Amino acid sequence: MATARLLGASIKRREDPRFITGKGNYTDDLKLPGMTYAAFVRSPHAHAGIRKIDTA
Amino acid sequence: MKKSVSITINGVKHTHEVEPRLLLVHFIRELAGLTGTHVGCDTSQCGACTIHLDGQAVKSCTMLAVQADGAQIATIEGMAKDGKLHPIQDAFWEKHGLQCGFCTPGMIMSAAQILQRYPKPTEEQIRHQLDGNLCRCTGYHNIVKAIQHAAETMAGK
Repeated sequence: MATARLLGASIKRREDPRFITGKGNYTDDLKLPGMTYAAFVRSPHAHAGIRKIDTA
Repeated sequence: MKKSVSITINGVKHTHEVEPRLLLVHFIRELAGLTGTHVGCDTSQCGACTIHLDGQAVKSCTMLAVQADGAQIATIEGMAKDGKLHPIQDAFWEKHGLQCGFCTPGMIMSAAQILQRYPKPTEEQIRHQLDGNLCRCTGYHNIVKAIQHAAETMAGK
């Protein structure tokens, strides 16, 4: 009986093999062409306009 | 000034010119391309970056790559041998010791060290030894069960 094998049985998850072997693919693991890093600089002022940005 | 660093990871030697500030975890992930070792917190708290350095479980975000020059490292990718899962990997699968899986590589590497220290660990010992590994999904219950199960399997061999 097919249901007897599913109901009340502990089923192993099919996604687990990749996670337990280090082959999961998380956002930080992706490598795409032309990818760069981003850093956020938050304003120390509550209401201010940006006049210029010094990228040096 | 860049420095040449040679590190053997899972039996394969990786030599790269690195900046002295490069963290070991970034050497492993970006230069060796082994992304199974994760950066969860960057502050040495979560243990997702745990690897074995010369047989010792260490957090690879807490070391510089230059400090590991000449070392032998094992990562999660080196745990399965010849396509066969390590008993600890099997136990995590069997006992549902993971959900999202992000902390799992670090958990498994720490578990391996725990079982070297305590081949028959008590639940208290496991929980104490896992102090440096955080999991936000499972509540640790099934992780503890998985490690106990792995201990039994490994003792039977």
